[in-house]
Amino acid sequence: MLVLRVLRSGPLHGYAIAQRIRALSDSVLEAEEGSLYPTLQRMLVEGWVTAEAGVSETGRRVRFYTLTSDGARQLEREIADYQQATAAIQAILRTA
Amino acid sequence: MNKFLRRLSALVHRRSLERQLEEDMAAHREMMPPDRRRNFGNPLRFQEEAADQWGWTWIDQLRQDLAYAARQFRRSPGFTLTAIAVLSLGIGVNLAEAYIFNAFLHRLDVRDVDSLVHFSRVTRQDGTRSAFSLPEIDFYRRNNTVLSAVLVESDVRDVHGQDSTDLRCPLVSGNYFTELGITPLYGRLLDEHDDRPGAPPVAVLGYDFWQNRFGGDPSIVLRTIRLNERPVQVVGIAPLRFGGLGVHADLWMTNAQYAYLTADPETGITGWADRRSSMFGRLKPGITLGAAQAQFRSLTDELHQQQPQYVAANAWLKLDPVNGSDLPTRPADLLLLGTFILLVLLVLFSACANLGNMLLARGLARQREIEIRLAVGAGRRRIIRQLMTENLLLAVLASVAALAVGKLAALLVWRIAAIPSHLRIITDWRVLAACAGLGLAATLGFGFAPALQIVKGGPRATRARKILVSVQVAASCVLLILSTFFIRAVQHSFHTIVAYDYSHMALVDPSFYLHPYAASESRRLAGEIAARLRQLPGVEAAAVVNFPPVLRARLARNPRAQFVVAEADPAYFDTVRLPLVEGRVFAPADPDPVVISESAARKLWPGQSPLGKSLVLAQQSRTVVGVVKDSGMNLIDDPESVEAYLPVSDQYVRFAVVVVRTAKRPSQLSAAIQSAASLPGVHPLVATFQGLIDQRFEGIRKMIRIIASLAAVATLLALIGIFGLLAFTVAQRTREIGVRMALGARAGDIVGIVLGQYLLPFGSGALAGMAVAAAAATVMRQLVYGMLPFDVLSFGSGLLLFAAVALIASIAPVHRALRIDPASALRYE
Repeated sequence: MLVLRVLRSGPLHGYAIAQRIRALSDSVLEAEEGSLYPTLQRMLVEGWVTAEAGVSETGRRVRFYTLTSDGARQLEREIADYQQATAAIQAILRTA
Repeated sequence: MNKFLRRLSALVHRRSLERQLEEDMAAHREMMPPDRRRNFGNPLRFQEEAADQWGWTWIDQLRQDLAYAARQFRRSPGFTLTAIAVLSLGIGVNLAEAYIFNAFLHRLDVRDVDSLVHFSRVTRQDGTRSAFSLPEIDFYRRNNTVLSAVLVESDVRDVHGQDSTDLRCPLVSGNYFTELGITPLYGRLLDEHDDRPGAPPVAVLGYDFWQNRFGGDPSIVLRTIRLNERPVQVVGIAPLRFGGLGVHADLWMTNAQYAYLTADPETGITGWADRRSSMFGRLKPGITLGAAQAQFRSLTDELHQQQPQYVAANAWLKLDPVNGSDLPTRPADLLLLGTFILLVLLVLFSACANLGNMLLARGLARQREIEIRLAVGAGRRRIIRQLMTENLLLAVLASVAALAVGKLAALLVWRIAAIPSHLRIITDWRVLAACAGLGLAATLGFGFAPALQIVKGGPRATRARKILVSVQVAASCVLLILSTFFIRAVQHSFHTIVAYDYSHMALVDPSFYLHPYAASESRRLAGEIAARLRQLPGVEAAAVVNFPPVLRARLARNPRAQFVVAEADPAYFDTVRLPLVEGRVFAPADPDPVVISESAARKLWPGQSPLGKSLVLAQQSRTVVGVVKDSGMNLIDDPESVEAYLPVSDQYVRFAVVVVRTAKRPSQLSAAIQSAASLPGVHPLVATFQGLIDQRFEGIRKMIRIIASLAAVATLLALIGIFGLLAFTVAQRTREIGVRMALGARAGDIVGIVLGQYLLPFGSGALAGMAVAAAAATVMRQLVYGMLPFDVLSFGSGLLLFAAVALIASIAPVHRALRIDPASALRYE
C-alpha cells in the first residue's frame, strides 16, 4: 500500500521509493530496503505498476516504476480496507 | 488473462529481467549512504524471492531435477536399462492393444466417411437386423430426400474359385466405388453400366486376394477367371487401402450378376423376401442423423401400407454412422472386450509392481543420500518431487521404447491373426495420447508409493515389497492359468466329446445348388458319386448326407428342444461310425421316420424308450425309429443342442454332400477322390473333416496364442521380479546369514531365511490370481465357446507352471546365500 501511495505522485526508481517511504514515515518503518524489490515484482505481475528503463541521478541505468490505473484502483481499495479496519479497532478501543 | 500474458513474457525475458533487477539493486545500494548499506539485506535472497513472484521457479527446479535424474541413471545403467525394459514391455502390450483398436475403429479410408450411415431394421419380433431386400432398398432410394446416395452390398455365400476355395464376393451397387471415392490400382472399378441387367459378368479383385492368389500380377486385368465354374472377366484391382465397406471382400461383382453366378432357382436376390443386402447411405450436407431417421421412419410406415406381408407394422429403421460401427454394442461383447482389456492391463500392473519393487530396493540403497539431503534442509515434498521427476523421466524413456515395442507387438498380432492388409498399424495422435496416458499412469502407479516410502523410511518398506510381489504373482498366475485353460480345452475336450472318427473322413461337396438341376437329377448324381467313391481303393465307405456337421447346419426348433437336423442315407451312420443305441436306421418303406440322438431321447422322453413315439419336426409329425449316440460335433456351437436325422428330402437334395471314410489319412487320397467324384459339369470340392474342424478352431487358436504371449510377458516380468527380490534379500541379510552359518545353521535353515518371509505373499498372490482367472474364464467360456469344460487340471497345471518359474528365479539367489562364507560375511560392508 505504501509503495503504491508513494508512486501516486509520479514515476520513481527503487531507491527513491525507499527514500520516500522512510521520509514520510519519519524513519518509523525501517525494514530491509531490498525487500522492496520482490514486492515490486509482484506488482508488475499483478499489473499495478509498469517499469521503464531510465537513468538515475547518479548516472546508473535503473528502472522507473509508474502506477497504472489498475494500481490506482488497488490503492483506493487498500486504503478503504485499511480505514475500515482501523476504524473498527478504534471503535473497540474506545468502548472497551 | 493479461496477468498470464505478463507472466509468459516474463518467462521469455527471464534473463534480462534478472539482469535489470540486479542493476536496480546495485544502483540502490550505491545510492544508499555507506553507513546504512547493511540495511539493504541479502540481494541474492531478494533476487530469488522476486523470481518466485513470476511463478516460473518450478521450471528451473524441474530442469535441475531432470539433470540430477539423468546423472543418477548414467551412474547405474544396469538398473536404468532393466527398468526401461520392464516398463516398456508393460506399456508396450497395452499400446499394441491401442494400435489394434485404432486400426479397427478407423478401418475405412474412403471419401467423407463421416457422412456415411449404415441402416438396420428394428422390429419387435426380430430385434435389430441389417439385411434388406433389393426392392426395399430401391423404394427407400427413390423416396427419401435426405440421402445423396444409397449404396448396396450383398454378402453372398457359397462362391468359389477355380481351386475350389470359398471366396467372399460381395455383390455391390453400381455407384459403390465412385461414391466411396476409391480409385483403382489397375484397370477400372465397377460402375453403373455393370449393374444393368444383362451386363457382361465382370469382377474387381481385392488387393489381398490379388496378391495371394495371383502373386500381384497386374496382367490379370482383362483376363478371365472362373467363379462357380462360370467365366468372369477381371476388369480391375482395388487399392490396398480399401478392403470393403461392410464385409472384407476377396473380390466384388455387381448385384445384377447374382443370377449368373448362382443358378439356384429357389433362392434369389431380387424378391421382396430375399433379404440378403446391406444398405448404406450418404447423408446430404446439413442433414442430421435424427432428421434422416425420422424420414425413414415415415417411409417405413408407408412401405408397410404397400407391402404388409413383408414389412411389419412396428418396423423402423435405425441409422448408425459407419465410422465406429465396429464398436461392440451387445453387453456380452462389451464384457468380453472388457475382460480382454483387463488381462492386458494385468501385464502393466505386473510391470509397475516389478518396477516399484526395484525402486524400493534402490531407495534403501539411497537411504543415506536422502538422509543427508534431509539433514541439510531439503523439504520432504521437495525430495518426493525430485524422486517423482526421476520416475517421470524413466516413464518418458520407457514410453518412447514402448511405442516401438507396441508397434512390433501389434504387427506380430497382425501376423498371427492374418488380419487383412487394409487395416494398418499407424502411429497417430490417438496412439500417442494413449502412450502418454499409460506412461503417466505408470509413473504414478510404480513411483509414488516407493517415493513416499523412501522419504519416510522404516520397516514398512518390506511390507510394501511383499504386497508388490504378490501383485506380480497374481498377474502372471492369471495369465498362465488362462492360457493353459484354453490350450487344454481346445486340445482335449474336442477329442473327448466327439464320437465321430473324423480323422479318417472327408467331405465331397458337388455343389448341385449352383446348377439348375431338378431334385431327382441331384439325387441320382449324388448316388452315382457315392457309388464311384466306394469303388476307389482306400475308401471304406461312402454315404450321402445333407447338412453334414461343421460344414453346414440346419436348425429346427421344437417346443422342447433345438434340433440340429441332418438328412442322411441309411448308410451314413455306419460310414461315420455313429453306433446305433436302440431301434434301427431308416428303411425305404418308412413313412416319415426320424432317428434321434441319445441326448434328444433323454430330453424329450426321460426314462422311456422313444421308439415309436411321434415327434413334430420341421412342421411335420414323424415317427422315431432309432436312437444313435451323440455325435458331439454340434456342441462346438451350442452345448444344449440335440440331433435328429431324417431321410434325404427332395427339398434339400441340392445341398447333398458325400461323406467318405478312408483307411488311411484322407488328405493323401484327396486328389484321387476329387477325380473319382468329378462328373461332366460337376467339379466337387474335397475337404477333410480335420481341415474343417481346424478352420473352425482357427479363431480360438489365435486367441490362445495372444493370451499365451501375454502370459509369457507377465511370467518374464514375474521371473525378473522374484529374482530381484530374493537377490536383494540375500544381499541385505548377508551378515545375518553369515552369523547364523557361523552358529551352525544348516542349508535348510538358510533357504528358510531367504524364502520364508515370501511364502505368504506368494500364496496370497497365487490365490488372488486363481480367483481372477476363474472369473475371466467364466466370462470367456460363456461367450465364446460354450463347450469348454471348467477343468481343475488346467488350473493346477497353470499354478505348477508358475511354481516352476518361481523355482527357476530363486535358484541363483538361494545358491548365493548357501555359498556365503561366514568369515567374509562378518567383514561385509
